[in-house]
Amino acid sequence: MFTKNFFYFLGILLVIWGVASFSFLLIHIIPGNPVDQILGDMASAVEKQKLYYQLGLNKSLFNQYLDFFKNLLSGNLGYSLYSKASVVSYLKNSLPATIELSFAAMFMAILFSIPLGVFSALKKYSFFDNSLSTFSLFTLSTPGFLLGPFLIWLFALKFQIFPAGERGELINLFLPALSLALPLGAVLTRVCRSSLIDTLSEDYIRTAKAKGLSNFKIYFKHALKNAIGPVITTIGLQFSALLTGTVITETIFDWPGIGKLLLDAIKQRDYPIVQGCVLVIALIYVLINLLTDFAHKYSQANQK
Amino acid sequence: MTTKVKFFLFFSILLLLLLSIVAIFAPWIASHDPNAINLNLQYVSPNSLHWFGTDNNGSDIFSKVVWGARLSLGISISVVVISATVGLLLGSIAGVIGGKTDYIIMRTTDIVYAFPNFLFALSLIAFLGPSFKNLLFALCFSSWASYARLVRLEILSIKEKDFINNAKALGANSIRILFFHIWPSLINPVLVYMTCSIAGVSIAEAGLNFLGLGVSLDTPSWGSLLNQGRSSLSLAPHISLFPGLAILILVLAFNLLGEGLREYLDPKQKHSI
Repeated sequence: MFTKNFFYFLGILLVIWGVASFSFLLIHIIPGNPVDQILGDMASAVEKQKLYYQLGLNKSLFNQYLDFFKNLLSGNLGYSLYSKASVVSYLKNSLPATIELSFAAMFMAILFSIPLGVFSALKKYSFFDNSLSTFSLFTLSTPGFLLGPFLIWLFALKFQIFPAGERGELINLFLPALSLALPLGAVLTRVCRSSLIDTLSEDYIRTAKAKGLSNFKIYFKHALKNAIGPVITTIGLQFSALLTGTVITETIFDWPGIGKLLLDAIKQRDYPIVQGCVLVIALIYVLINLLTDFAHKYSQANQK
Repeated sequence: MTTKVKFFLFFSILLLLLLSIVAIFAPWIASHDPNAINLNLQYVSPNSLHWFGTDNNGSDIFSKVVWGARLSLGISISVVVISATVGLLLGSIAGVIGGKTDYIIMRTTDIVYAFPNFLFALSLIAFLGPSFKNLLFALCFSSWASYARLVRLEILSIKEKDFINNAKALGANSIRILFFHIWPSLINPVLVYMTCSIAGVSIAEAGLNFLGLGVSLDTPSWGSLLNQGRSSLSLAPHISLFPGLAILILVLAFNLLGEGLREYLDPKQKHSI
């Protein structure tokens, strides 16, 4: 047991180390000289020399690597090349917007997908169930960068009901959250449906029916409680997928979150910010997956 | 085969065949040069000369969409084939040899697998610069790990089966067992996974091009055309409409193919999406 847990945690540390090393190495995979790439041909030699030292490129690769980890452990992710503000302050400013957006999307998705999933499982192969599964297949095939412009066109330009993004009032949250929530909800509806159908075919449901329990009690007390496990696991896994989805959605809706920060930094070649964003998004992703894994293991241990 | 599976397979193969024909014969099907700029013909609505209208540079959208099919199909198929091959080889080495080799390969795989695929590809291209080669590399690099994991797990369970022990007892060496006994039983799960993940690859490809982090800008792609149309959604929605429909059709066809093939080849796996 101990060795198993030990290797499990060693594996996690290894993954975190790998993620951090990847974000360090990014600046070194730039073809040619990174300084020339960032400043362009017009820059003077003095400017180039300054940036060269600022990025720490004068040191050996190994020493740069050590410095990177030293800074990382003390919570320093470097400084923006243009504004000179620290990357951490940028991240602090934009992370709340992303968290707000992803929670709103998740909330919306859960709100409509679980009732729909339950309903179509209870009315298996009915007209409603079939049309819902067709609709969810369509939704799954509509990536965010397609859905986003479509929602803007429909709700913000054609019918002018909702504003197209830009953080502020609560109503501004609606369209970006919806464009993330639709494909997410499609996945959740399907998982909820198939998990409930599986549970309803179990023996103890038959026993409960034979005991003469009301349908309501069977469905909501016995079946749903046991069917919810896979749904929760999927919510966890999709939450991390949501994070990468926000990169595109935030760009489309001009939402000042970490995804937009990342893309703006890429456009400006502000590489320290890009590295910081990549590192933070990847770490949050890894941590959420880890928590989901824990929750899954815990619920399985409880069931035994 | 149920009617549903039959319908899924028939419909998806029909759509993919159609798209492949468009992709292969793009130079003959396209009516104009996709990169020709004509500032007298900006934002023309669809008409008999320009079937899908023109964009903000006056380029013909129909020709761009036709050429874009080549890129989308080509990238999606090659990424899935390359990453499946890499994953198959590494997963086989890990699963068959076991021990330290297994540990090293699988921990490397874990690191890549733990990274969010899209972010991985995006950051690679952000630093390498957008080009066809880099796009292909970035997408392959971010998707081989799931194949390696799948193959290794399958091999671990196949290795315990009786027919492998029988082959061993008859004196077959591990190379022979791998080629003639293990790989044939891996075909179904790997094929199912390939078709299920190809939709995700084409979404990632179009998404990266949408963000301007895919191929270089003079190569016509659905994603970049969609992004171009975003600024003139009320003036000329047709710029976004047609590449959008093309992406939707391609992804839908891949999803239907994946779903149909999974239920046909591997009916036991109900849960995976």
